[in-house]
Amino acid sequence: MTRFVLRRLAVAVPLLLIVAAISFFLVQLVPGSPAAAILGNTATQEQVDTLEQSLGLDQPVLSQFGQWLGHALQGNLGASYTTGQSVSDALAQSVAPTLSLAILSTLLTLVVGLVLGMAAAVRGGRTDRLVQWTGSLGMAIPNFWLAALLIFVFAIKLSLFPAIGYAELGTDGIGPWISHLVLPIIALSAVNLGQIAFQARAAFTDALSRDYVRTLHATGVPRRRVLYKHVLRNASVPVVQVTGLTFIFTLGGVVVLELIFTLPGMGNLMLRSVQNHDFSVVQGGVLYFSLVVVLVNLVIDVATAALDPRVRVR
Amino acid sequence: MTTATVPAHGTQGVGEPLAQPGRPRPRGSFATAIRDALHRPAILIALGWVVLVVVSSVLAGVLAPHDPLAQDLDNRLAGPSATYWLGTDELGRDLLSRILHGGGVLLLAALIPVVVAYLLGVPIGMFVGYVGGRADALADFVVNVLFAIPALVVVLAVSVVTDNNLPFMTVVFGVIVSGGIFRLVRASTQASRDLLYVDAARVSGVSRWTILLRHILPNVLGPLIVQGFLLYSGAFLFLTSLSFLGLGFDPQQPSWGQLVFDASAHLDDDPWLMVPIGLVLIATVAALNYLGNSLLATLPTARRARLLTPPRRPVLPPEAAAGTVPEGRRTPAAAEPADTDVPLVVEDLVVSFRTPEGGWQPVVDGVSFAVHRGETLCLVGESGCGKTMTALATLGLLPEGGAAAGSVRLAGRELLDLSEREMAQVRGSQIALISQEPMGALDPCFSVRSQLGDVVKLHRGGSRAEVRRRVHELLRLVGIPNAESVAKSFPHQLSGGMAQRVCIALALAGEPSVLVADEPTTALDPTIQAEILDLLRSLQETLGLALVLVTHDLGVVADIGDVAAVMYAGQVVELAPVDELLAAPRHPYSQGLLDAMPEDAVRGVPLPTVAGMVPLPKDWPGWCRFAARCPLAVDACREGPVPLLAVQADRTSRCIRTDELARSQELATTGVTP
Repeated sequence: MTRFVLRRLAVAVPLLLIVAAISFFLVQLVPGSPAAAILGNTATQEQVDTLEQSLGLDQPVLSQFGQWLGHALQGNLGASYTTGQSVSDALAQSVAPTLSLAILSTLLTLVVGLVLGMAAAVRGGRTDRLVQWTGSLGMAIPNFWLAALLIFVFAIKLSLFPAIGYAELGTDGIGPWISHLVLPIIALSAVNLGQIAFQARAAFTDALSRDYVRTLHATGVPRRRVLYKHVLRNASVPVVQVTGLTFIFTLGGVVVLELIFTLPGMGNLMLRSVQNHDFSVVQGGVLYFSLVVVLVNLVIDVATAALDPRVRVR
Repeated sequence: MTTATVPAHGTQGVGEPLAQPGRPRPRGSFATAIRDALHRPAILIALGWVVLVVVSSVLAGVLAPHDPLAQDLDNRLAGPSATYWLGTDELGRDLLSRILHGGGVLLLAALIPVVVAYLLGVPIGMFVGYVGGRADALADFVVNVLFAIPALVVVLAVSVVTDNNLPFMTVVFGVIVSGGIFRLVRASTQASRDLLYVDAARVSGVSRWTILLRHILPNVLGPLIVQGFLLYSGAFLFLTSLSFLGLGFDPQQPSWGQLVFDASAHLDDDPWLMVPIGLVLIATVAALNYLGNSLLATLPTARRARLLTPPRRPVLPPEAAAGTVPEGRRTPAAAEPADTDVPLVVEDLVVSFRTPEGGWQPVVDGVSFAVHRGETLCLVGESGCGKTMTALATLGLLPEGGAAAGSVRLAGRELLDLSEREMAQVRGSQIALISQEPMGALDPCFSVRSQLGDVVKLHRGGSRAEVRRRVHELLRLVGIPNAESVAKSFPHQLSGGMAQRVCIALALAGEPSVLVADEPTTALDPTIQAEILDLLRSLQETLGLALVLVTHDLGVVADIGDVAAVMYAGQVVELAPVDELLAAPRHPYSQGLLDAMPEDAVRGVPLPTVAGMVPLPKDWPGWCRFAARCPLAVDACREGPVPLLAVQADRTSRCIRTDELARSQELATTGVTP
């Protein structure tokens, strides 16, 4: 198992380097100078040159990359072109709402999706149809529209949850923290829930038809134990793997929902920086988001390996 | 946002009954399946909605009652009216006109990622899947990188870099999602690369690209179309998100995501704004997803029956419980029910499966036999004769949709009347099963020790140390000397023969008196086959087991059997002691099987086979079921069902021409040709 984790880490490092390179060179594609883009149309050439010099943009591209990467490895992603704030600090301050939302929603969809998929596959008939219809409906509702609906019903009409904003877990306590996250989590989970429930249904249907189910029955193992110990474990392997694949889309949803619920997260930071042509923050943001994806996938790899010994040798 | 990297088996198999237990459902071609689907109302509604949306977007300029940008400041946030059918927004612009104008660019732009993903994924996937090696490893790494990229965030970055250039952003999105198409094409190419016809094409000197295009692409076309559809629906949802965020789309022109954004600013004073655009979006995505999933359901898949037992055992209704042959039933039981020397008695067993029409189709039709202590009874016959279903019915382990009637008595106790809970207590401790595919018969997630230990604990209890000791004892009993290390292994680390030994140990863990073995050696190498048969024989002798062995191989019967029940089309056609059966079969089908044994083959002479095929249960005739393939059949054979007839004290045969058969055998042995 330790060797497995080390091997996965060894793959993750070059992956991150490549993503870092992509996020750096992406900015190099800007037609004209970033400095000109920041200063706008009214700037004189002289102002542009001065800004370029102060940002280090007059250096050759490769040496810029080397410098940026070297600093990035030390946790320094440079300063924001517009506010002058350290990019690492800005990202670190906004990471908590983003991760809370993404991780809680992923766990929720995984657990509820497994339960729904299992019910659909095992009970069949009406339960199956019900799960399929609700899942299909969930997948068809755009998360931003669902978010607006939830705000209207639960915040404006019923006043059960705050419509917008965020409370720190550390300073404000768990109650306010979670109550600010309930609506965003539901809005974010609806689409993925359908996806995961369908995957779970397929995985359970497959596991239920495997020969070992018959072997276990034939040795006298009761039905419930076959289902909850053996079928559940085998079926969760592909479902957990798919959760990893859909996580990148969950992060996309987080960006959208942070805007609606005005959560002070990385998504809103990115959107602001995009509007302000703040390239250094955008660069750092892409790197941060990719880091989250790689780490989550690492956790998922380890989880599947813990569930299924065949994964460990791959 | 939804993606289509893994096919979700959405609408597949809802309430559809299985055509044949345990076998892939026969399916038509992709094209016929699509033609069939077009007759379903839900599909037509979904298709109709998509067409409506596309047409009205194209004709928006003509259809829209107002200029989508014209402001009517006196009618801001007005509800639906005769002038403004769906009401107006905060600047008094007509909502209906804005919706009509707001979908076209989205629908069109969502095509770009699909095209890009195809252009990248298909050729690269085919090439890399065909050549393999380093190119494959490299492409795989690139796809892993793509899967680690948060699509929306990167497209955000691209939007700032390209100054909100929508085509460029969609191309980048297409590149990121092309990994799914790539993997699909590569897997399919790898699978067909080594097929015979591809080999033949390669040998005959056809160029590589011709092979790929002509032979491999058609195989993957169906799944590709489905995947493209789901990808389009995902891209559409993605682009509405972008439009909601105010990216990529001209802020002056209406677009659907932006309409939701505008509406969300007026949740407290005009919630109605949300309704029309929400319904349009949901209906469009739902229709696209539904069409994609219905397409997916048309792809051929092998849907296997569930093997988990139902909480309540299904019961055959009385009219189905009789099977199809009412006469000749009540075959004499071989022994008294309570005779401890005869642990298993099966009488008039009928196994039926539910048909799609709601009726019952028998697959086992009035089978009777008894097994003595220390005796091996072989159920012999070709595939599709009902041997396995007979064996599984004795344990109450029929696949989903199956039910049994008649009588199965274990040590005098009627098993068919037991509830599932009572049956679970009988299984393992009194009657146990060894199945055909040893690798699949073990749960891949648990070690041998854990699986075997669980069963030991279930039947005997005891401390952890006692259980562990018993596990090792059982493993040594089935001829595994290095029990310690095998116990620690996981099923995928075992060889087929080793796995089958573990399965036998599992079956013996509860110390049953009857062992049912369903083709226990078929999946194994010939040398291993002999070892496993030897093991079964010696276990049977030392433990005094009654053994029911299902096989299609008369060699196995000769090797290990005491009594043979030859089965054909759901019935026992001959029941006889094995040595007598092999010396002089009394049913033409037994004779045919015997003639087809490779052991008796003469060099240079083609191996005789029984011409024709076992009829499917639905095609069983109302007379002798073997008549269509029988060299001795006469008109009398087609007059009605043939009962089991006694030919000797301990032999029965379902044939009216046994004398004729005996005569032809005599002629053959004396060497005189008639």
